[in-house]
Amino acid sequence: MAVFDHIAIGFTAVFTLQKMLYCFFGVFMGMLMGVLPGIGAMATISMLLPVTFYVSPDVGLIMLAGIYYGAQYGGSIASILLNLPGTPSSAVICLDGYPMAKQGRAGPAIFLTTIASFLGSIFAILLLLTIAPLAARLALTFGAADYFSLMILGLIAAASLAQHGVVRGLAMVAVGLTLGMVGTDVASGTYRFTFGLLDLADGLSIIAMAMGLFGVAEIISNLVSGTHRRRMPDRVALRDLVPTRVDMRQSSGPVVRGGVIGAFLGILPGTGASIASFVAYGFEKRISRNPGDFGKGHVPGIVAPESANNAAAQAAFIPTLTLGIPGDAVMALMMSALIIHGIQPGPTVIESHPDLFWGLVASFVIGNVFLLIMNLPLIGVWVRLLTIPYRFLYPVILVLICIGVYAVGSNVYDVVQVFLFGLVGYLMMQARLEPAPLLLGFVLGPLLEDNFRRALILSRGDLAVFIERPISLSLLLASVAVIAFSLRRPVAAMSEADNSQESSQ
Amino acid sequence: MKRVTNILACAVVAIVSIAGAATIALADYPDRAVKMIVGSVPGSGPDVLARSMSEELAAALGQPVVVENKPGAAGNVAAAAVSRGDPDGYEIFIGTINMAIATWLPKEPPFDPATDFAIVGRVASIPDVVVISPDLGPKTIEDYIELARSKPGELNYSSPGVGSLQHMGTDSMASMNGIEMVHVPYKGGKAATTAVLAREVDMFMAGMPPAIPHIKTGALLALAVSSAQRFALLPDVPTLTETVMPGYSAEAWYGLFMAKGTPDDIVAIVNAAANRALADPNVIERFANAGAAVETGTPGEFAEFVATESARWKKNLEELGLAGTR
Repeated sequence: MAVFDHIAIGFTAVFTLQKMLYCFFGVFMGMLMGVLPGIGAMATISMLLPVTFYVSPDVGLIMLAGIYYGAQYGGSIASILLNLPGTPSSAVICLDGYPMAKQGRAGPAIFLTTIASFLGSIFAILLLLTIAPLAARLALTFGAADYFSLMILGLIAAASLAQHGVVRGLAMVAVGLTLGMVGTDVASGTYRFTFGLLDLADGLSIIAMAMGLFGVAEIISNLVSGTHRRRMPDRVALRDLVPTRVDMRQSSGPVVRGGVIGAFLGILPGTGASIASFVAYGFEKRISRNPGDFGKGHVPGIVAPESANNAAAQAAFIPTLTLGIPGDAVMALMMSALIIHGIQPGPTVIESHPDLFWGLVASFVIGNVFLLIMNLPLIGVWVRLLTIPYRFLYPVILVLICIGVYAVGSNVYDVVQVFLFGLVGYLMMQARLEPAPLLLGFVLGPLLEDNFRRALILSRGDLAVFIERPISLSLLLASVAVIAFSLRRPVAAMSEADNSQESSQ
Repeated sequence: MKRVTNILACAVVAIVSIAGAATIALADYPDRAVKMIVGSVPGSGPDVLARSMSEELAAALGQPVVVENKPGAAGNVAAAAVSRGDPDGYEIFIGTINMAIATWLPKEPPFDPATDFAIVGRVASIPDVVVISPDLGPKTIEDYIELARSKPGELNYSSPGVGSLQHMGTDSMASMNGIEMVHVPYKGGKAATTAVLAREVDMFMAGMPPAIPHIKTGALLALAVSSAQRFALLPDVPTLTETVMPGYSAEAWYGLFMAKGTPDDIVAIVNAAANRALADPNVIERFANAGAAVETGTPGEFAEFVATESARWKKNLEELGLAGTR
């Protein structure tokens, strides 16, 4: 079996003290930076990229990769504890994670997301070991029309993100799509809605938006209302940290589905962890018998997206390593780390540098085990953070947000954006408008528009391209099926769920 | 004791600059870490070059060099900020050809590359390379032009964006050869390269860095390079000027810029340090891995070059009806 040969090569290559140390350092830094608001994998990797000049490329890559997937573990912790997404991809964890924390179940929430992260990652690693080159080649068959139809499916699956009624949800998706138009229009090169500000030429910052709408808005709200609505015992007993048997049973399906969705979106260049986590959440809510439970601390609402974003992060290595096509900006960064060492990423890496390739894959397994072992005992520490009086906690959070957002682009303007979005987020909270559909619209909008227009340029304006391509057609049919499926459910039940949702607030 | 003198020197610097004097304690420059500002994300072309030479530049300057990324508007957010920064020589911007192109797209250009900076020196040039999928059919650039001529308006080409060097270069190639192709803009050079690999488009006049790995593996076929001479990494690939675009050459360039009003003495110090760093074999090798050829020279030579380039691309954008439209 070739797979076992690969595993053997990989583990033989990776079991050296130096590599293990760098792997540990990478995942540790990644997790830590993922916890800190704003500072994600991108900023951390760029800070540590120069280190890779002084070590051999495999060692450097193991460390950088560790940061990348480690950050996916950390990101959800602040979402759960403080409604503050550590990374944009964990914004959706706020929806059910934060309510769990408010119910005093922060411990089980972090426990479950850690396990979900681990399982999602392992699933994608298995894909990497078995069908990587094939999967990557399949990803290349995705054209502009197919991406467009995929985004439609994503939007429809995720329209259910709304908790206060479909209309409000759709309105927020529309606002998000509109905000996504800010910046340079790819098809014409025109600056749109930039008001002459060069800082807006690349659009609004997703990090600023996620931090502002969730975290800063929450802080403003807490300060205005004076209540922090947190029931947290002074002492944290071990049994408060461990999920119940029911939690575990509720998790198994969502973790698997989240992993599949995440791995699929991770393999496609251009769609990454953020979209994966949103879609996984939307999908779970769609197929749930009790969609009204979501948003109140429902376990599938945290484990599905968490499994998805980790699977996506690991699967993003597939096109990068096998085809030399970076799935996202962080992958592009990894590729340049290789190129600096004179290694050209691409199909030949597996043959010319098998130690490096399979060693890296083996390091993913080890790194994820490190993360699992490291995170479980830390849960108690994280939960105790909540016992810190709020008046001490929130200034620290605000400072961390400022540092984090500034670190990403070295631009004061981004910090201003965070606070503007914080204010907007607070006003939205008052009007019971939700940030999650808005953020999703913002993430999907540019992909939707660019690919729609690109598909039409390529087809010379013929709309039939969307139903002539088999992939696009099947995705559109799937979208129709999802709509039909939700229409079948009695409308009364939906609105009842919405009403009970609102009265419980 | 050294610390005391450093503090004193800083005090002198502060006093002198507050007094508004033109000269700033030159004898001591640089007496603290120097920032190297990159106008794009880590891992991008200019970032790789900056990091490839920062260590050697630090050795030549005798002070640490810290690379800082300030992405936005094809590097022009950072360029505009550096141009207006303190003229003390502690912020070195690694500028790109986009300063001579993207600058002219907005209604109000954020700066004039030729006059709003202290221009230090060129560091590298990177030619573009015309790539197609090997399955498309043509084996030479002439064959490709022939194919395009036989199918007017049917072939597509990608670019990293409207008004990019690659867009203008392909447009010139089409008009010089009387062929008609459809422009499909993407977000950045990597996405535009992927489009050729996936055969979503037929051709891309790519920047060297995203294309070269795929040329080496045979996933892409290199037909021609845009530089005046053949490119060292691809000695068998002809130039455009010797084939289908006589007299034409265009290359992406990279150079160092500092705030307007930086004293000439400081510019000379940085220029000498950069030239020394660029002579280091390690730097040359790292640049080559990134698809770049090292360039050195005096501040005066580079200033003249920037002025020529700025005028050239401004005119080209005006001809395409793109200048001042954003």
